[in-house]
Amino acid sequence: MIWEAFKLSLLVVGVATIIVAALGLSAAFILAKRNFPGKELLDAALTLPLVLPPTVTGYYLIVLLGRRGLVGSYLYELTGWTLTFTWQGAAVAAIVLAFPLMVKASRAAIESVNPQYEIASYTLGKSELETFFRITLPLARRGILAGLILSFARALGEFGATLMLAGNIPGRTQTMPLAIYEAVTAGEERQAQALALLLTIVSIVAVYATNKLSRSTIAG
Amino acid sequence: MSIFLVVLLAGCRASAPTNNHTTRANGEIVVSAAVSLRAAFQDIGNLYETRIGTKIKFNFGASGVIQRQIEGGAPVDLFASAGAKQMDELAARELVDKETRRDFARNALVLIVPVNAARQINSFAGIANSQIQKLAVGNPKTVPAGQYAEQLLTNMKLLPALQSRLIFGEDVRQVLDYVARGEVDAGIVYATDASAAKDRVRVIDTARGDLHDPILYPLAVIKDSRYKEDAKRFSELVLGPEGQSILQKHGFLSASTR
Amino acid sequence: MLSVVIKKRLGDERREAFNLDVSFTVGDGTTILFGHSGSGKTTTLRAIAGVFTPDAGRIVFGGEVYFDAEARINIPVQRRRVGFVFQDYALFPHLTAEQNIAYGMKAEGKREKRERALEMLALFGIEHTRRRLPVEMSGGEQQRAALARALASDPSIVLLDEPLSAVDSSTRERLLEEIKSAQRRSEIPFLYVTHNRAEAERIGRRIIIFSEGRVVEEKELND
Repeated sequence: MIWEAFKLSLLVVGVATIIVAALGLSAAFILAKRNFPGKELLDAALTLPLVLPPTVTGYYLIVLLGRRGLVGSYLYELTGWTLTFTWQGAAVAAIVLAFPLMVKASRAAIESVNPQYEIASYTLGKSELETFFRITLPLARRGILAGLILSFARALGEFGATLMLAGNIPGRTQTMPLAIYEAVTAGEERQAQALALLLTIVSIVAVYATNKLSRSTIAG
Repeated sequence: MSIFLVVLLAGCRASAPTNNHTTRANGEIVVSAAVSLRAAFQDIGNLYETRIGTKIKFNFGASGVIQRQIEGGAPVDLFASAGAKQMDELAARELVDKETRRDFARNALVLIVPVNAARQINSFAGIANSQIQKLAVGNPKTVPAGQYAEQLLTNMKLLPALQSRLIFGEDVRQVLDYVARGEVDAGIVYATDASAAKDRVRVIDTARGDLHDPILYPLAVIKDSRYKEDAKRFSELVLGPEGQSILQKHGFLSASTR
Repeated sequence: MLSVVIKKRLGDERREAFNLDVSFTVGDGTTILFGHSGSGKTTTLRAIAGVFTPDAGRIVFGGEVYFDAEARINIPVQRRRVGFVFQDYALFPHLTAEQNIAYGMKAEGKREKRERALEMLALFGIEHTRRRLPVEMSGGEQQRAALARALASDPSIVLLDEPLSAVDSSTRERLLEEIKSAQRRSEIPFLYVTHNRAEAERIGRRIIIFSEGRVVEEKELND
């Protein structure tokens, strides 16, 4: 049970973190560098999963992506496949919950880069995109990395929304937090302890790394 | 409505075991009961409050979760479980007053499908060969309804064929919700749950009572309770004619019927 | 030849708004934009660079229209081929001196870029800083690297925004001379913003004097 849950967590969190990194950075770039009507409203909407109880987010996910959901029903009609009770569903729950952390941290890091550097890059003939990758990102990397680690930790510990969208199916969707829950409620003390210890160690390492990164000041 | 319940229950599940640490009014008793007893017990609770005068605070959840809470020291006065296993384990740990333990109701297992699903099967036996891809049952590790369902499927020799199609719910109401939403093709729940959700699920078949352990609901007063007299009064109300008639109104069977 | 006509209103209606309204032309050699802080000289420089957009006016350089409010032309910074030297150097903190200088080069190959960067480093006497990060360089070294970086991108004009104000006075003399010879070597116009009279007279061929958002005087200086 422990190793199945561990492997499943690795898969789900691995996939989720990669997607969160890509989507989060893109969203952070758009929010930091572009102005458009309704921008702050969009930012608030993207931040929602951070403040809503995870079960409420899970509810919206089911309503949207369940087999008879607003979007899920089309998916089911087209492919006969549905997100619920699959590890992909667990990954989606993790992504939705971890995404706001990545966006917030990355946006702050990007906005804290001295605009002089970006202007210097433009005067040297580089486009906005090239400047973003060659100047802004490297200078913002500490904050972005902190955001990534926090997202990873959040995805690893995701329970409420995962339970609602993906269910608690050993070997298929039972990630470590769900396995702990089952072990506790089934009275399997040893399993619960082992899983809790595993998760705690990973979380401590994540927090330590985040603190170390954010303590060093960004140059310039 | 069921959605709301699932959300509420999920919120309860996620909270700490000692969620009844709030202040207690004089003589207010805390009754923890299995989810399937919610509607019936709330009716009996209203009767109790008007009749006896003291308040009741209910805590509904999966029997396994409540058992852990009581083991963890949660201030509960009376426990009503959906299965003997949880009560037996508490008794073995000397956490309940054994003389107060009584079976007060019985339930049956039914097979349900979403209310507007196309008719595919007629009975439990028909599941294996049908197009049913996902069958929801309670988690056998922690949910009594899941344990009974597992026994039923084993005795009908259906378990090997269906094992890979099983979807576990964390309590019986979640199983009901999965079926009502159409997330699964069918589910096994108590007759009482199905009747409470008549407009959202349809009963296809009722299991033969001898194919699984009798689904007897025991209740008992918690040994450490400080309001034993009031808890006993509630127990008597449940076991008496008025309580029994309320239970039967909600679809339960009498505990003593054979 | 650079011709500049800029109008911009800064601030809101209620307070005393700052009105920028300038018009001048710039020829070869080093031209000084002189004035106290807040006189509009840095804003003008930024408008020429393309970092700042005026409300009205026209900026034409070498026959190419950089900006024309009426015709709605506004060439982005990247395409204006201006080299910019900032007051605080703005060298990229995560790149070495060599990498900074090579950053804007339009040469193709890595080897070519490295060779040219080494040339520039030697020209400004800072070969020893080649592999250093800006934080490991002195103020004077950084300013030289910043000038080298601007020139390495093959600009048509170099804009300098009070380049010596962050440098200590003993290095200032030498740097002034180096800027002067760099301009002569490159044969492109330098536009130099300063509020320091001595600097202006040392280095400038022509001086344009700003005051409260307007050009109040233009004159030739002895070279």
